[in-house]
Amino acid sequence: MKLGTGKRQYLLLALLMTFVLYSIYEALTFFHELGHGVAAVSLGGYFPFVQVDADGGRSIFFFPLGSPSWKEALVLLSGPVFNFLAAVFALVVVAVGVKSRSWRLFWALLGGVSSLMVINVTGVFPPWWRNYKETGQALEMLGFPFAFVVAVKCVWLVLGALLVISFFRLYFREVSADFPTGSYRQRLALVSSVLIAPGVVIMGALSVVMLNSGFGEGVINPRRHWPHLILLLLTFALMPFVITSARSDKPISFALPRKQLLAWACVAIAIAVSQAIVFGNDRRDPRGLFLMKSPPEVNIEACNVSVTLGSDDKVHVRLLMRPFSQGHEFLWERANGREPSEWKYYEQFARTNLRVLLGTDDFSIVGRHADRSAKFFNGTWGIGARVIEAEARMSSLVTGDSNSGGRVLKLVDFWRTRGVGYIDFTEMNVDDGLEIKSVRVDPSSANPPAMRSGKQLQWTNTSLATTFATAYVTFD
Amino acid sequence: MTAAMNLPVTSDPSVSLAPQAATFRMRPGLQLMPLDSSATTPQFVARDSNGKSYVLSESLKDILVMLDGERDLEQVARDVSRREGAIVSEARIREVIERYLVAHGLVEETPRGGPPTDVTVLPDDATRAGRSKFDFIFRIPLIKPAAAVWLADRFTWLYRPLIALLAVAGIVFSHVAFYGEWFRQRDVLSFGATEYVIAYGLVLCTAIFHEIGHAAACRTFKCEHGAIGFLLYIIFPAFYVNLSNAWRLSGRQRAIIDVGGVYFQLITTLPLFLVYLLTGNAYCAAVIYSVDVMVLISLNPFLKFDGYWLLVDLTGLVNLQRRGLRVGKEVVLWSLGVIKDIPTFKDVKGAWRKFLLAFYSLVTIAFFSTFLLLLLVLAPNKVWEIITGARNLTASSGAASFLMSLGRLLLNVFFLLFVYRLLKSTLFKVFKKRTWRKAT
Repeated sequence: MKLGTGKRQYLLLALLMTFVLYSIYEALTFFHELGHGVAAVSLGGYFPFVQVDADGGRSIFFFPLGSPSWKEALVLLSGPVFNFLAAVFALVVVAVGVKSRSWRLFWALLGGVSSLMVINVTGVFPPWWRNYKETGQALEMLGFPFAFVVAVKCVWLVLGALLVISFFRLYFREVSADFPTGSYRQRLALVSSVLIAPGVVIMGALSVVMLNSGFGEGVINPRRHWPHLILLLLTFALMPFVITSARSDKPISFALPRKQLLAWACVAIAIAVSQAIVFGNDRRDPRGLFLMKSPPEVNIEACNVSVTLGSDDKVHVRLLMRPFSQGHEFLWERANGREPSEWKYYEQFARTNLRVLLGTDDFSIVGRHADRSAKFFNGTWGIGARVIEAEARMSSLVTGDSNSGGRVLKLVDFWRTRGVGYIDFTEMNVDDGLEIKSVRVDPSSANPPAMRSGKQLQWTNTSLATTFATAYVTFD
Repeated sequence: MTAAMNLPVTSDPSVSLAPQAATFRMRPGLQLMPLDSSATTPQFVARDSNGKSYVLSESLKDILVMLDGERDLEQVARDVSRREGAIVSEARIREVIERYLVAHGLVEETPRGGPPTDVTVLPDDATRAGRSKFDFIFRIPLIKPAAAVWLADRFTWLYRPLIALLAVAGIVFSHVAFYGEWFRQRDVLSFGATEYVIAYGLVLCTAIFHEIGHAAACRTFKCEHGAIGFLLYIIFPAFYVNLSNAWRLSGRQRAIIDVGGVYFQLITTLPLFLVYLLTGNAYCAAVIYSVDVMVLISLNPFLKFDGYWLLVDLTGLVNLQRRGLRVGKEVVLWSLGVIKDIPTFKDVKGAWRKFLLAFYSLVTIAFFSTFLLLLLVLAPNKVWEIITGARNLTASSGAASFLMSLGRLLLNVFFLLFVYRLLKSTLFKVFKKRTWRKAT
């Protein structure tokens, strides 16, 4: 398709670039997520689910209970590393020499988008934001001091920026053969067609999808993402200076084969449609690629505790556990219908944490079962849990209270004391013949329990700040 | 040293000439032979009497051969001009000689009319090349060459194709069975000082067998090899076998020699696995783990271990690391528009080799940068651990406790030494000025 001179050709270029950039971005996002998964599996973890939606992508991975945190950090870093390697690969392909001009343009663009992703979507920028996205989380997880985290992010930022400049310089060098690039204005027009207009269209379209799907915000939220916004504006404004080899001041000679435009349009539409069909855009109940028949139950992410003081001098403890966090409720819905393939992680968790909860080694595990209809609190009330039941002698747990003359049972939140979370729901019951007199919690700022008729106490926890670390329950 | 020489066609007035009386000659004992590599033009290896080897371009080799102590630089320039079909100045010849040949001790300056050198270029099939590893320090030969040859000859049968096939199948099976816990559950190892020493001794034996593997591969191709000994590479204690003569073999044969060490070391896990199956012996498990870790480290292509040489010999990309760093810089400058093309690519044959060289280069740079940053972060903590370790050493009671404290202390010292040596061979080089003697 050969068009006349003027704005129409810039529009045509912008249309083509919209299709190409969207296709490349979605493909890179998918492989970025797979990068996380491959790293998880190669480090002995599990990778049951991957999703690409309007907000980017999501891969869910798990490591068995007790795995060191550096493994998780490496998996988080493997996404940005994938983008960096993809950019390096593209740079090498272009440097070695691709004969076809179309392929040279393709690889330069792929490298450029991948480098832009390193900067903009992996948390490298802004470097001073703590715990931001995967890069920030990973570096914090590795226990590095904040100054070092900022320094590393700055180094990666500079490397990413150099790659972006390199790729778009190479790209515009090719494109400038067909467009006038003599003045800044002409170059800006070219940059607008290649980057700005397609970028705005793609971000706008994705934002509309996000807002309609209940994400609460679009791709860029100006209140929150102002550094990104400034960076993007600067990139657009400074990009014309990257076009160094102005080859032609002649009128536009841009000719785009109709087939090429149609092919890219088909690819982009196919990606958009398959994204909507395969993955959808609902994060709470996502459709996506489930890569395992049953989600792996190798760690415990949520826990409810029920302690019953029996009149038979025994303390009965029920640990209700789920292997998935609140955000992965959809995985639990798949797992709840089945028996877990192995109980060893649940038992290991129970043995380790009952010691802390009760403050004694003198307990025994007496039963385990998958209770599909048990009420379970994990931010909201739901159904089903893996249950381990244990028993201990009351005399080995309680101490006398000299003030009231009653007996005191000490309960310790094993997650809260380690600072890694909190037990979502704790319940204490006493059998007939016993009565709860009073409760003291430490720290004192923690929420007091709901007491029901002197026979039952309940803590429903939704925040670390208001959860008790230790509770002293006096009863008689 | 890879010296690709682009000879200018005009004289260079910035370089002044040396007095006419001085001339150069090839050092006595220097050997030259062709090299099987991927370069677009023929390459040669020059091996000096100390066993150090240098890779030369054909032009440089021609100049080296012309330096017989008789011909002066004017004559050499005339001969080179005739051969190249372009005028090459005497000043340029002097610059090349000083920069590449004198700096590496391949030629020496002699008064004009001195005795001619007796060195000649050996024919292809009779040459002996050297293959040295410059980053090695503290070499101590442990097994003399004759004994090493006798020992290696006892194991050449392991390179018969059928035996090798069975051995590799056995290695794969034993590893899958060991890590998959097919026949026996693996327990967590908990060693005290004595157990560590015994396990370390066993691991050392497998490391020596690793070197015998290289030597036996060398003998399989009827190639001579030298002594087996001990050395420090950067700071890593290691064994070595002198394979100086391996350069005369083809790339494929050199690759088999490279992988031979890993092959032999993995073979040692076969009996260890059997004993472990029968007895559950913790030492066997510990040695299998150690051998596997050593093999993985050994196959790392970023440092000059077996993996690096394997890559070099399979691809024919001689001086991969040095050229890699150069190409990395060139690709970055080219992509930013500072230079117009990538000169190093001109010497490399085939697109896939160029691709491999550039990719290796950029990944190596990224690997070393991240690694160095990580090491620099850990280093201050290690200094503190050395101070507290030294305090613990004086306070330790009992031999076992003393040995454990000493071991920890030495590990930290080695770590700092490693950081220093790595910095020295990477970052410090960037700031180091090129030092070459100016012609006077």
